[in-house]
Amino acid sequence: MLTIHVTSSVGWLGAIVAYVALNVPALGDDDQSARAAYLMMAPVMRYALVPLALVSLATGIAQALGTPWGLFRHYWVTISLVVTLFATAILVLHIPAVESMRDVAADPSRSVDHLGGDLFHSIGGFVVLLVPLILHIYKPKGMTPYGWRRRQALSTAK
Amino acid sequence: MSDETPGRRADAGGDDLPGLPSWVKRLAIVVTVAVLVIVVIMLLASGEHGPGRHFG
Repeated sequence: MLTIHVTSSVGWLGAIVAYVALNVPALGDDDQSARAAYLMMAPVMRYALVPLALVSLATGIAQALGTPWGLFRHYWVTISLVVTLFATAILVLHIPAVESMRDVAADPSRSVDHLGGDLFHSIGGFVVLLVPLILHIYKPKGMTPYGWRRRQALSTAK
Repeated sequence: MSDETPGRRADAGGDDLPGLPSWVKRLAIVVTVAVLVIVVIMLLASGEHGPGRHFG
């Protein structure tokens, strides 16, 4: 489970880098390259970014629930969950916009000059996902009030 | 998430209810500033970006 979680999480970041790279030809001067880049954004989104995000989220939750870390006992786990949920939600909600750009690029009669690439979401998503990555590596100390009370209850029961 | 378990390391010891860790406060400040900057950028971009775009 841990291996799948780390692989999907790091793969998610790698897929974002690939998506960012597609913005280079998309924002370039060559019309054919720009259209090809916009056409590729949709499958990268639907078949790489979204599945990796969902697997990362699901395995992260399962990993937390299956270990003493829990989901809401330590701030770093809870914050990682919130950030990952936020990033996944934005990603899924952004699919129609990306597919809309793909549809424009697929129509030779329509110009792609006004589309403006998709750097805001891709770079923003990369920066946001650095938060759980750093938290997972360093695991900064800090129990939530729920985690503290739970630990107190367990130590009292012993 | 590694298999290093919280029981194997010193973490928020003591009997007192722990307060908000300083790193959480710093992170909250950074996130607040980042959100404000993004909102300002979006407003300066004349509303070209918003949640409605995600449903387009």
